[in-house]
Amino acid sequence: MFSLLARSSSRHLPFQTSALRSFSSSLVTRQAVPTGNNPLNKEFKIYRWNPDEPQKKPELQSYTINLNECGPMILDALIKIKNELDPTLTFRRSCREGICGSCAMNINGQNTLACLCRIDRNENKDTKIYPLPHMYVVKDLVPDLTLFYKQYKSIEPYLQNDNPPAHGEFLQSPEDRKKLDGLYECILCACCSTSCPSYWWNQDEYLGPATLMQAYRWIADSRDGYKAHRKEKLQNEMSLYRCHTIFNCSRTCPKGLNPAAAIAQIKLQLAVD
Amino acid sequence: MFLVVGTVNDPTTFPPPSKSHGSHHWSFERLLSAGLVPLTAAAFVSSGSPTPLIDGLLGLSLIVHSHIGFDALLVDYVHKRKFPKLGPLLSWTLRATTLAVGVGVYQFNTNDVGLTELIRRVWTA
Amino acid sequence: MPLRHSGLQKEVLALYRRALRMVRTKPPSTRDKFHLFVRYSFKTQATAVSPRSVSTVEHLIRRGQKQLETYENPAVKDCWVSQEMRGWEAQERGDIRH
Repeated sequence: MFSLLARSSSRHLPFQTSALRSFSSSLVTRQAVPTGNNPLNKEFKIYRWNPDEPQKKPELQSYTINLNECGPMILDALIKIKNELDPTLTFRRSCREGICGSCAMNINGQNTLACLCRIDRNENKDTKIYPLPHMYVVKDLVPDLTLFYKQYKSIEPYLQNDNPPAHGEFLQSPEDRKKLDGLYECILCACCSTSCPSYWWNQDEYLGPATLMQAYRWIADSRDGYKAHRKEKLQNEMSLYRCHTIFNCSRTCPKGLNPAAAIAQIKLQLAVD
Repeated sequence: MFLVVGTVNDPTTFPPPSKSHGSHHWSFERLLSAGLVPLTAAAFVSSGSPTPLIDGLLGLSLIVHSHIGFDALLVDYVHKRKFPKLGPLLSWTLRATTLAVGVGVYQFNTNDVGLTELIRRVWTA
Repeated sequence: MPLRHSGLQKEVLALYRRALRMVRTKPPSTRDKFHLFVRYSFKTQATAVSPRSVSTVEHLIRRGQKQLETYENPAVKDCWVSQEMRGWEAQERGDIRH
């Protein structure tokens, strides 16, 4: 069909046909080719739950793929499974390079981004993949992050200042800018919040590490004029002080950030207020 | 069971701000915990004195310290928003217990040998 | 009929009431369709799902809330009614008549 189309148009538009031809040939030749090694079969056990059959209990489904025909990351394996074994497998993914935060999931007991997590190439051990813990599941590996985003919205994550500069933009010294390093890089993948036991038990009231780190990101910003307002909102039993310095957040962060330190900074600033 | 309050686009709300539940509570808790270390040492050094003031202070601090600890436990796991009956019941049980222990320690320190002396005797027994 | 409802039953009833209130805000010409849609969604699930499978009911409530939120938007003026819903309605009417 494709070649027919290419041939029929070749008489009139030679330039386009060559483009078409190279495209159609790339379909065959440029794909990942089996390396010829012995197959390295690895078992993946993946959490499955279908909302269309809510009476059925969630279960672990097992898939075995040849790692020699697969990219190095867990996300590559998931995509391979979805393409070749089971198109009903559902997960979020987008950038495949750790900047969008879509593919956050629990891999072998650790919350991380599937695209930044290497596959353990030991074929005797299976890899277990679950959705982020203690969240409502939409389907398979897709958690419901509604509350997480509502909480993020509640800290007013934008610049607020009643006295804008007379002309031009807000200026910031390099030292003040430095204070935001390690805070602004957060991609809100929710790995840290969903690893926090305090957040598991009290997530309707406790904001969780990701949101609190962003709260501190705006408290620490030299250009923001609503610091007192931001701090006052956290002055209660639940929103901030359910943090018991468990440090799961800093341990699990796939971007290597330190939400626990940011929360400690907020506590310190509130204490001396 | 938790349900989304308001529409998905509404931000979550905050409880009314209160420093006594927020930063003051936290600072007090931390200072008390840090203070217990030198206080314990001081109580043992000064034990056996005729006016066991430091011993009494140690007893009081320990009671308040453990009360705060147990209270945090209750707020975490049996908060009254989730357990409207059991939560307050346990909170009041904790308060009553703390009070009873307070009275007990006072009696023990005024009429008997006192906390530090007790530990010293049990230790060497 | 039990005199006291469980918390879960109350939540389902509250959702059903909210859905019926949503129907009343719609234009009269399409109100019947919305009404059928709401009744069909609740009644078929009520017969299909055991009241003992709490997590299933909780899931359905959460899904229903999200769905209802969309339908409550004043811009939504009409809804689609499937053949199954019509069939179910006819059967329901027949049952009542006999």
